[in-house]
Amino acid sequence: MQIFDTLDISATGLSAQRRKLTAIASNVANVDTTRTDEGGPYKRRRVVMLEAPKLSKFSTMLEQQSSRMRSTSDRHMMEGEPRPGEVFTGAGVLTQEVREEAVKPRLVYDPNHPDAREDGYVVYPDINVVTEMVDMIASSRAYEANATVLSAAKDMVNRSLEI
Amino acid sequence: MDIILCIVCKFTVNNVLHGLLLANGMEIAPKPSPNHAFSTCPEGQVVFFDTCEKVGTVFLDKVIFNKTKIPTLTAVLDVTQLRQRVIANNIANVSTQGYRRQDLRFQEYLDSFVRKSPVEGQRTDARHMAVPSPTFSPEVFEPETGLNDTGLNNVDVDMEMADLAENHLFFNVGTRLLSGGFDGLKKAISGRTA
Repeated sequence: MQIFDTLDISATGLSAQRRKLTAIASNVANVDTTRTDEGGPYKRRRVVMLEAPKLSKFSTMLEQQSSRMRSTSDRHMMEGEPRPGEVFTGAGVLTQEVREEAVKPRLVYDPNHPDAREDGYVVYPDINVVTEMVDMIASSRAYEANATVLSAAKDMVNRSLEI
Repeated sequence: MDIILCIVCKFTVNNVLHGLLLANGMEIAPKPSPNHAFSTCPEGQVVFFDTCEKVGTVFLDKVIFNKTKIPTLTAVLDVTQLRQRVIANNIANVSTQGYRRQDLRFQEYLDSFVRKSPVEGQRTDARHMAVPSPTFSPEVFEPETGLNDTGLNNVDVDMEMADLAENHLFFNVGTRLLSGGFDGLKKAISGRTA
């Protein structure tokens, strides 16, 4: 139903921001991790946002027309005309997670470290805690914005039940 | 005029109602035309499935609902609901790189309900032009604005939140007026009770 689409859109926003927060938490927790399953130091997780696939106007119309029912007899029920609000808008946001290859890994000289290289340096992940913190604030604010939209939409649905 | 009673929708068209329909420029087919689906009831009276149902809803729409503010308010609710969706989508994509914000053009659509054209043409043929011209429907568009401070996209969260609040209030006004409209109709139907 169209009125619940708004809730779905905000829900995609919420889950995208939550996923980003999870990635940030994992990055901060693994700031000193030098050993991973795939070998080498921990690689920074990064969540990339994508706009949910939006059908172009032409394909939407084509789909609408091809799913239209034809009445071949007068006794057939008529299909209702589409309501004016049924224009296609977006469908929220999608996320993809990438593992970043370290551009400039942090090198610390510590020959006694079990993961030290031949030359005595230990390779630490390329994670800047300050950057992570800033990302965290931005993402939690975006989460709040989505939550506000969601509660507004919920209020509208409730309000329309009172008519 | 015979009484036509539909066994499906129980809609009775008697003389009084027929007069009302005629006064409002509507005619009921007195005889079943070969194009109409019909069957006969046990008393042998002609039963129109097609016509009577259509007449019933058309009658209610034309004589009662279209004379109130209900159609306009329904359009208001439709528009605000769609706008809510557009705003939600903008906010969900607040950190999407390269996203272009959407907006809704709806003023013309709502205006068309308030400003009635002085002349109204009746179409007797499908090829006739509609007078007044058909109403604009609300349209989603992408306004051309530059990138915002983050450099990711052109969504301004403050503007979106302001639009959201405005839209929310607009919707509340719509529902309140609409339930007022229905209350009025109910009172008119049931009469005043002391």
